[in-house]
Amino acid sequence: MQRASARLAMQAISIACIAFQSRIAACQGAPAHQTHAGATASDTNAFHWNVGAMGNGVLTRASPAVASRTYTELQFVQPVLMTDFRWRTLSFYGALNGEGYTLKRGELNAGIFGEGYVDRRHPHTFVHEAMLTWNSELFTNASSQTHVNFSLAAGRGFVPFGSDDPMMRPLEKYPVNHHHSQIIERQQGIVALQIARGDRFAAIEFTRFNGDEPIGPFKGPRWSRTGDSWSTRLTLQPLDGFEISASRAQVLSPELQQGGAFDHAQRNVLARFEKTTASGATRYLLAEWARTDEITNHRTAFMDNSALVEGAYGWRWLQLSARFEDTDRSEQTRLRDPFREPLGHVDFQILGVTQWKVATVGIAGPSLTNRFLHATPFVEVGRAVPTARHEPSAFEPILFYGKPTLWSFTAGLRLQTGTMRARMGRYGVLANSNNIMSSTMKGM
Amino acid sequence: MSKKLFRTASLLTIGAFLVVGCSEPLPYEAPVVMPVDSSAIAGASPVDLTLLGHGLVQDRYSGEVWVRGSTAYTSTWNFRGINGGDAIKIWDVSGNQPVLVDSVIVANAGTTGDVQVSDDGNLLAVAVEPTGYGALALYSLANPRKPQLITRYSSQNLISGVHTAEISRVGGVLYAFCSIDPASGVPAKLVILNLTNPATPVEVTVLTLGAPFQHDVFVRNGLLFTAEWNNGVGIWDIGATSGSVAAPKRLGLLKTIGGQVHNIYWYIDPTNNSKRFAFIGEEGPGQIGFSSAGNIHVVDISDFSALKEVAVYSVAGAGVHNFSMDEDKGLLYAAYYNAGIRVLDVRGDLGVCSAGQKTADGRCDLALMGREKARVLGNTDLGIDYVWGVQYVNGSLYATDMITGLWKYQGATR
Repeated sequence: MQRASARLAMQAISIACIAFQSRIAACQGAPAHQTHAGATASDTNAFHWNVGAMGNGVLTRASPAVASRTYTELQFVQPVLMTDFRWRTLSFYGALNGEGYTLKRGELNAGIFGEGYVDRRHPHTFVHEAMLTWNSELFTNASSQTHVNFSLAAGRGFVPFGSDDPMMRPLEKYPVNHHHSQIIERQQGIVALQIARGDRFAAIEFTRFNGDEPIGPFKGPRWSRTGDSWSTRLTLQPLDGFEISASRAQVLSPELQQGGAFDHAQRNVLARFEKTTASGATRYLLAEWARTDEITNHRTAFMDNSALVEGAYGWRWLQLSARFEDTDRSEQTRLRDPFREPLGHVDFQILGVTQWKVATVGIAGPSLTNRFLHATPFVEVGRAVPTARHEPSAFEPILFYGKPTLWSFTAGLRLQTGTMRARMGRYGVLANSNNIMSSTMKGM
Repeated sequence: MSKKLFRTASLLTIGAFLVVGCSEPLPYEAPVVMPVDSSAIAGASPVDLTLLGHGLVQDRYSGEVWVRGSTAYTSTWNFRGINGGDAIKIWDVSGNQPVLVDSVIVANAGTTGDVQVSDDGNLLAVAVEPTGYGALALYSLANPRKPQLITRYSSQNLISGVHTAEISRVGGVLYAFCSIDPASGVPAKLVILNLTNPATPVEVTVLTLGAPFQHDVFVRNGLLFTAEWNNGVGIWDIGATSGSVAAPKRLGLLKTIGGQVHNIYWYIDPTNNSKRFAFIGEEGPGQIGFSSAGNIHVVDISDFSALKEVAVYSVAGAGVHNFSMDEDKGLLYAAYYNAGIRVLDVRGDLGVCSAGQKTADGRCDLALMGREKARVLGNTDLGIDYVWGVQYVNGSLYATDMITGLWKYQGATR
C-alpha cells in the first residue's frame, strides 16, 4: 500500500512537472538571483520556487565484481525530482528519489557499503529530503556588510555532517566513504547560527536526529528513536568559494532499528573550493578526512578511517574529474547474495578490515541542450585495490574478488531538466546562493 | 564590531576544527593478536593437552563440532573465498587422526553455525543461516556416515536465520530450541519446535528475547537457560515445576558484567549433586581469525530470584567461545578463539577465594585461584589457530579451528 502510494505520488509529480514544462520555459518560478551568504534579497516577500529533475542512464562494467566474474549492467540511477520554495523567512527543500524502483539490486560500485548492500550502492529512500526552514537575521550592519543569521530547520534530510551528497558531485560512482562522510535521510531538527561579512562567514549547526538508517526505500523510521543521536558541524568560509568544516556525530545503533547494535562516533574534516571564472571555466577541489568508531559498552571496538581528494576542471564544453580515496571498510558476513550483508555485525564480530584504495577519473561533455533538457554524456574509469588491513583476515579480498585489482568502466548520459540545487544537505543559514545549480557541479 | 567579531568567530571555528579533528575522546583497544598467558600470573602450571590428530579443512571456515560414537560432524561458516558455509563435514574419529569421509551440502545455506545429534542418535540437526534462508535442517542418521535429509523446516519465524539450534528432551519429548537472528526492525527470537515427528516440526512457543541477540540456550532438568546478550542470562521453568515448553515461566534474569551473553553451561557435579554454578560465555567484539574478547562468568544460581555473579576467568587479548564439560572430573573446556583452548577446574565453591584472588570488583578470579589446569595455545604457526567449538567425549577432546579444521586431543586429568 505504501509502495503503491509512493509510486502514485512519484508519477503524479512527474506528470505535473512535465505539464509545467510545457507551459513555461523551465520548472522555475523565479530567477535564481545571487545572494551572498546572509544577505537579503530585495524581494524577500516574493514567493520563489524551483523545480528540477535528473537521472542518469549508465552502463557499468565491473571487472571483476566478485569471484573473478565480470558484470556488465545497464541501469537508470539517481532519478530525482527536486524542488525548493522560499517565501519570506520560510524555505522548503524537497527531493524525491526513485531508486527504489530502478535500483533494487543496487548499483555496481566497488568497495561501497551501507544499508545492507556491499560492493553495490544501495537505493536511496523515496522521500530523500523534505526540510522546512525558518531564517532570521538577528543583526545587520549594512555599511560593513556584517550579518548575524539564525535558522531553525526540521524534517527529513541530510544531517549537517561531513561533505556534500556524492550525487551532486562531479563523478557518478560514489566514493567508498559515503557512510563515513555523510549521514543521510534522517528525521531531524537543526539549529544554526551564522556570522557573515561579505563573502566570508562562520557557521555552526547542531541537530538531533534518529540514529536508525533507513531499512528500505519505502520504509519509514522508528519514530520512538527521534532525537536519539546528534551531530554538529562548524563551517568557515574565509574566502568566496573556499570553505573548511569540521563535523562530529554520535549515531546510536544505526544498523539495527530496534537498537542494540554498535553506536557510531563519526568525525569529518574537510576543505572545499569551488569557483567559476568570469569566462565560465569551473574549478572544484575537495579534500576530506573521516573516521567512524564503532562503539559498544562505551569502548571503541572497530575504527575505520578515510581520506579522500577529488577535483573537477571545466574547460569549454568538457569537464575533467578525478578522485582518489583511501578508505577502510569493516567486513561483515555476506548473505547468499554476495552483494548483500546483514544489518549489524552478527555476534559483534567482523571478518576483517579492508583498505580500499580507489582512483577514479571521468570526463563529461559536451552537453546537448534544448529548451527543456540538458543531456550530458560521460565516461568514468575506476581502479580499486582492496587489501586486508590486518593479517590474518577471514575476509581475504584477493580470494573473494579473484584478482588484486578491480576495474570499473562506466559510460552514461545524465539528463536534467529544470533547476537543481548544486549542493544538498545545507539548510537555513547555509542554504545560500550556491545551492542553485552552478555549471561546475552539474557539469556532467 | 564586524572585523573583530569575524576574527573571533574564525578563531573559534578553527579551534573547534582542531579539537574535532585531533581529539581522541574514546578509548580504543587495538586488536591484540597474541593473548597473554594468564596462568603465569597465578603461578599455576597448566599442562598442554596431548595432541592426537588433526583433520585439515582449508576450503571452508569450520564452525561447530558434534561427536557421537566414532563419527564427528563439523559445520562451516560464511564465505571463505567463494565457498560458502553450506557444508557439514563428516569424520571418522575412531582413530587418533580424524579422517574426512563425506560431507553434506545444505542447499542455500550461507552458514551452518550449529550442528547437534539427538540423544538417541537418530537425528542430526543443523542451524541454517542467512537472512532469507533461515531454517532448521533435520537429517536421519540411520547411517551415521550418510545423513539423509528429512526436512528443512522454515517459517516466518525462522526466515531471518537460525543462529543456533539446541535439541533437547523435556518430559520425554524432543524439542529444538532455535535462536533466531534479528534484522533491522525485527527483534531476535527463540522459537521452540516439537520434533516428535521430525518430518513435520511444530512450533510450540515463540519468545521475543535478547538485545540485540538471543544467541543460545542450555536445557537441563526442565530448566531453560537463555543467552540474551546485553539483557543477560535468563532462567525459565519449562517443565521443572509449574512451567512448560508451551508456557515457559521466567524464574530469573541476570545481566552479567559486560553483558554480551553468548552461551551457557549449567554444571551438575556428580560427586555431590551440587547444582549451584552456571558458566556464562561472553562474546565481545572481535575480528574473526585475528582478535577476540570476552570472559567466562560464573553465576551462582542457588536462588533463581537473586542470581549472582561470583567469579570470572579472563585471558587478556582473547575471548571465549563455546563450552564443553567433563562433569565427572569437574573440568570445563572452553574454546578460546585466538587463545586456543583453556581447561578449568570448576569443582568446589567457586565463590570463595582469598582477597588476593579477587578482581577489583570483588569477584573471584579463577586464574588467580590457579584453576586453569590445561590448555592448548592458539595462534600458533603450525598448530591450532582460532578455536570455535569444543566437545569432550569419552576421554577425548575434539576442537574445531575455524582456519585449519578438526583437532583431537587427549582429555585432561585432574
